[in-house]
Amino acid sequence: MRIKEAIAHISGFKFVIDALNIQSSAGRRILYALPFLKVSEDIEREIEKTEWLIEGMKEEAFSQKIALIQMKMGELRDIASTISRLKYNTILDDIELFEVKHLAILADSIGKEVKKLKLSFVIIPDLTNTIEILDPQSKKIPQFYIYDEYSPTLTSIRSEISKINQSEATDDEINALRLKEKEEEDKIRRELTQKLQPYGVDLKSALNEIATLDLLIAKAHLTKELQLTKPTFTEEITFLSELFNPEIESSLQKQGKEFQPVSISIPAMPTLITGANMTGKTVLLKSIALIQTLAQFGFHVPASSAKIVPVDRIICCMTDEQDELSGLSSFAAEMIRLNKMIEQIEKGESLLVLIDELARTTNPTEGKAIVAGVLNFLSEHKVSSLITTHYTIDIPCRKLRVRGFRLKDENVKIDIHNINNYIDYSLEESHENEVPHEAIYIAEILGISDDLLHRIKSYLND
Amino acid sequence: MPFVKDVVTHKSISVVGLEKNTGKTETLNYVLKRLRTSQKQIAITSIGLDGERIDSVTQTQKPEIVVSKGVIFVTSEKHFFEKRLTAEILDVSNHRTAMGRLVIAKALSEGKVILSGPSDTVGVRKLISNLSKWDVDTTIVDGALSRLSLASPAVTDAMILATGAALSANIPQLVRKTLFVKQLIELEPVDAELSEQLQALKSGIWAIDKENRLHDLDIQSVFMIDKSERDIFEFGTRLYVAGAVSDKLINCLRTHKRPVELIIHDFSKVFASQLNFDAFLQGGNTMKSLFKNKLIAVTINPLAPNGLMLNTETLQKALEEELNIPVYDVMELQKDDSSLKFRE
Repeated sequence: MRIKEAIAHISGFKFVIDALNIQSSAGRRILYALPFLKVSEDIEREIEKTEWLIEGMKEEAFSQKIALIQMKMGELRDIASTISRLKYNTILDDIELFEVKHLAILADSIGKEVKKLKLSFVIIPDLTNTIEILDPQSKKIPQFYIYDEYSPTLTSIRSEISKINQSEATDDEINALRLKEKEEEDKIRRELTQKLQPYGVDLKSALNEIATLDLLIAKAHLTKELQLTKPTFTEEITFLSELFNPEIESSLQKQGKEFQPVSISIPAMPTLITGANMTGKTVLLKSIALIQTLAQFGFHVPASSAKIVPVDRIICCMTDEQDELSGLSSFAAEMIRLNKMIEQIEKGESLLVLIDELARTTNPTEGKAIVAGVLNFLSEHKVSSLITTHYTIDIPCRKLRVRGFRLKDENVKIDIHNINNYIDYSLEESHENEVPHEAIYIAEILGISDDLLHRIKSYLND
Repeated sequence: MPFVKDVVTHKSISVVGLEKNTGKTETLNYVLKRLRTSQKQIAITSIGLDGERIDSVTQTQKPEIVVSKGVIFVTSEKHFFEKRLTAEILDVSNHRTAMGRLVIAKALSEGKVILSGPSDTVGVRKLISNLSKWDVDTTIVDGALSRLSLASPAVTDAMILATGAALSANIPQLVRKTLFVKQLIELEPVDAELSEQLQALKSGIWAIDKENRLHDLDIQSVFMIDKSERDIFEFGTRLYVAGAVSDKLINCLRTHKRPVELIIHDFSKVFASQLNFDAFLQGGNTMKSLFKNKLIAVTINPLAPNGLMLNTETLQKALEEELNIPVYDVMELQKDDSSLKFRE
């Protein structure tokens, strides 16, 4: 999985990525190239860097230096393509030479700040040689042109041009001199390119190191802003304590509501989650997918604490508008996804499987059988998986139930606006097979017509 | 010499030709030449691609600007590489034009360069403000006057207008036309806060109520204004037209018989004739624009492309009398001052 896919498929991921305040386009390039890490140590190393910055930024002086570095990063241009042209020994033009000089001087100045902060994980190569090649006047400013200092011939041609400019010369005479100047300049550009060529690798690494630091600083700020937590990693059971979903939380906050954090453990076996409608089962699955994705891209996560088992792949089976566009019925799309999942499990990949209301679009008799069959398969292959359902499934497996409408208050009329206040979103272990029967009660709260309710209830009593 | 010293008292100034062959490039070159001895840091750029430069496709000659040593110029990558002078690159902006990014460079020798610049109003304003980083005192903008252009020279603080026989071969008519443009350039501006708000609107007709709240009147085109079924004065009589101001629009507003305050983007958006404009104002209506601008001088080219030559002195006197600002024949000025002769 790449960041781009995660943005498309993991609900709430784009919200987090958009909240990253990355200064440079090179930083964004690094972000989009982030690998989905599968080994605990790799992820820990990545997260440790952000953690290091967060810790440091608690100190005022450190924080100010970081702000200074960030400001300088606004100047960074992504000249990766210019640098690769250098690799193939293509002669650089003045603008490209300017870009190289600009990068070298910027890297030099950011490098000095980085050294002061003792950021051991950012290694900006020494570009003094590059600067010297492009700064024959030793001015240490990022401006550039083909300096007179590069060649006495150029100096004399130019002084001739300036002399002739004052006098009454014809256009042809000036043009002839300009041509000579151009030829000499081209010769110098060729020489400069050759001299710079050995430093291409260093330039590229300087660019990428600064861009990576840009991303890291943005991640550190993001962690503070969204109140994310440093996850730890384990081989056994994922445990997420008081997890939340930043996007939904922010939208609830705008309505003056609060997000109720939920805790859950995910062992290497299937877990069936039941609960009345509107009790947040889908949001729970989406938030778990988000946390797992963020962690494996090396981000901090939205929870009060998180112990996570890294997986090779996250499988989300949720309603997707794309299905209709690709001409599949929701049932067909679900079956195809299930089948892919089975293939991956059989290949030996470790997965985190999140299925929302499995087989809900078909008849309950066969639907139940499908759920039971999938549970059986996942159980046999010890797959960490969460499946929500409204069906009564009586085969033995781990079952969790959203507490739901536990906070009823006789004195208050519950309606669509305050319903969230009366739902307990937390999970409890459940040993009953029977699922909650609150659909009609909720429909009532939502204010559907009495006539219809009456008819529905008459059938229910049959 | 006259108006050139006035130029450097402004942060930004555009040179605009009312018609092709009115001598805009000569005026620009003359101003630049005169500023050579100035202690001020001068920068020069252009607005987008005007009609003339698009002719690079058809191989027609493009006007080149003579830049003297020390002047900062801004042009596209393509034109930067075609420059005929030595110049130090100060910066390369991320702003992309059809001809590449914009290069900010400082001339290290005198020579010729083709200018191109940002193609929208916001880009021009941003560029002018960014140039302060290089201690620029005055930015001169080669202002294309195209009603198709998204950028208007109105964003500069002051303006020099090039007019001449190419606009009209009849002196009284030429004076009237030029005076009308001056009137439009110097329309009273709205306050800065409202201007910022309105600049963000790219199209449509909007009503501005007493609390400065904006309401889209949902009129697809100004040509549909008399077909609109809703009361366009629902939110008051202050209206903003983001696009072109036509005769039809003005007449429609005028016939409502109540004083309308019509806010336009800038003078270059006015298509309406002077006759209708005058009638509009006489009906008790007012017209304002988003930018404060001042016309500091007019230059004339008495020679029309068809070979007709107006009397410079008569034309100059007639214009000065009506416009109350200095009017010069740039070619004449150069004849007087042989030390400033151009190399063409």
